[in-house]
Amino acid sequence: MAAMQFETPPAPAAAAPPAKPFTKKFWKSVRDFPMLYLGALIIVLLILAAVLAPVISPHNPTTQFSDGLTESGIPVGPSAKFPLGADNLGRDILSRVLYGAQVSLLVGVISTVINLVLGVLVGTVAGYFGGWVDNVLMRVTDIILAFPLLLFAMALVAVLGPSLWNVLFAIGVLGWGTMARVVRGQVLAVKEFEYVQAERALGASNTRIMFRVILPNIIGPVIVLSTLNVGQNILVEAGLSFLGIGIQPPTPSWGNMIEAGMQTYQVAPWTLWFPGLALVIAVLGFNLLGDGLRDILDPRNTQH
Amino acid sequence: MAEALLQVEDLKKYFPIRRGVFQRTVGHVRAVDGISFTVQKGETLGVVGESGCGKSTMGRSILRLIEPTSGVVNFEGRNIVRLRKGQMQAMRRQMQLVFQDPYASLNPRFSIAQTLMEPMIIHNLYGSREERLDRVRRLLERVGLDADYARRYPHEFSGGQRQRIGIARALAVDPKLIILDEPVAALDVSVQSQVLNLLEDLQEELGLTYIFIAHDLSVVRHISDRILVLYLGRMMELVEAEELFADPLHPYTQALLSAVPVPDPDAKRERIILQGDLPSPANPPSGCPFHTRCPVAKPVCRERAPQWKEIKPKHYVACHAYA
Repeated sequence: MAAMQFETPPAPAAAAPPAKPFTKKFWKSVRDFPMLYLGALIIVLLILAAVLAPVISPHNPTTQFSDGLTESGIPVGPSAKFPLGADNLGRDILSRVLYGAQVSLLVGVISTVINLVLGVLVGTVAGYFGGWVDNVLMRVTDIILAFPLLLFAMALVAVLGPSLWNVLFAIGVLGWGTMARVVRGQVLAVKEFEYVQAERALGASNTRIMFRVILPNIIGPVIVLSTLNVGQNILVEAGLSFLGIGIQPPTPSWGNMIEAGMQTYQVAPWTLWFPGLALVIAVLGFNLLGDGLRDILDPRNTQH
Repeated sequence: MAEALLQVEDLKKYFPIRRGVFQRTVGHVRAVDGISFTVQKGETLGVVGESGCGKSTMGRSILRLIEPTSGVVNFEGRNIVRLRKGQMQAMRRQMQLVFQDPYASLNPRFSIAQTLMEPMIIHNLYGSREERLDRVRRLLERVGLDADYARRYPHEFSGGQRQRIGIARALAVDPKLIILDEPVAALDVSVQSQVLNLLEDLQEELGLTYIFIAHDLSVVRHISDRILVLYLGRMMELVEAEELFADPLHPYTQALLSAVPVPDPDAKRERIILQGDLPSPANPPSGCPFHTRCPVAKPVCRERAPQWKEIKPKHYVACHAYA
């Protein structure tokens, strides 16, 4: 068509900068966002530790070794047999920290998935429909957010009874408040775009508009928040276990290990240090990844 | 051309103004205040007016993207304002909308193929994905784009190309009526005329009926059969396009026309500069809404709203000067 001559055709994608080798691009990206990759590295190691725990652990995490305690009953320090020392019952701390990663990841990830589903659902419906629906849903969210998550989860677990699945459930159904608020805000902004109106003009159903058109356009902040959420939920699980209403001994969890370590840290400080360190590193990993994703998804930080 | 496709009667859209803790309604913005007109099959009705005169609200109310406060919209004899949700969704196949901003009107996450298949999926047209993709390719070619663009994403296109895609999306459901909401206002002048020509070709070929909303009279003149002039949500003048330019009757229309640039440096022209600002549609002037700025206002204009009258054959005006 002759009328086309004034319009520049879109530049062919391949004609952009001469194709750099993948490894070069990768290292440039690492240089631009070092914290993102550090976080990712920590999480990969964490996942490896959790998955390979049965293979790489030097000992069974629940076996009580008689040589794990001195004659006066004090846990032995780091040695060739117990690389990170032993705990108050003579169990190998390294093995328990590795198995503890399983619990932390399981609770952190699955409760976040529940948070994600509930938060996205509530936030999308509230933001999209507005009016009294929005009012009711956001007031419920306010109530959820008004209580500290740890306290709220404590109450629920106390009612349900302490177990891995109850902890996971409690954190999952109580921790979606922030997600709902963020999603609602994003939906409010995106639903005014003309492409959403175009979809309505085409006769699309509300469900289709909400989940097929709006949701993919707000996925960036949702991913960032979910990542940060995993770290937070791991911390809440540790808190519950520390208070004795989370994961029950002898199953190792960083929270109940720290609690046990509290009793012996004056004579054997490693019983407190190593599970605590594992917790700090894991939460740091998720926070770094979340912050890094936020940066990389910000169009102002990327060239394309 | 005698068959009426769309008949709008006394269409009104008032937006409530809410204040205070209890969100009490303290007043209304009368965005569209009693508009009536008929559009014949195959016709193009141009709608012009300043920003904020209710043009876009009117277009969206006709499509029920905004629920009208009152009034009747008969499409092929059926009042669509009364239709239930399901019936309305099905009815949307018949009437489509093209937007002003080609950068906001395409979903950035959808490829062009997805954007154009969306209407076919919603209305369950064509059996298979292959047939739909085939239709996408034909639509792209129809609006003057390369069929291979289907795999690309909106950010890869220029404004004019995006607007063509927006038009293709509207065409995907084979509508009878297309409301064009300032479809060329965001485009370069050189691209504007290409898109206008495309719209004219499509109308001729597919027997489409257009409502063409614009603030630029020269654009409307090019494409419209009749032109409706709005001011503060009310009708000022409705007449055939050539007649409007040859013999504008309403003082507001005369002022609008005098603002159209003439591509002749030697042309003598008298510019009518309107005094004052556009009054707020939340608190419109009494009587004729235009009397605050009208160069020929009489005392009666302040008291009574002028009647909508056929002053000359097919030339309707609401103005006391012709009472």
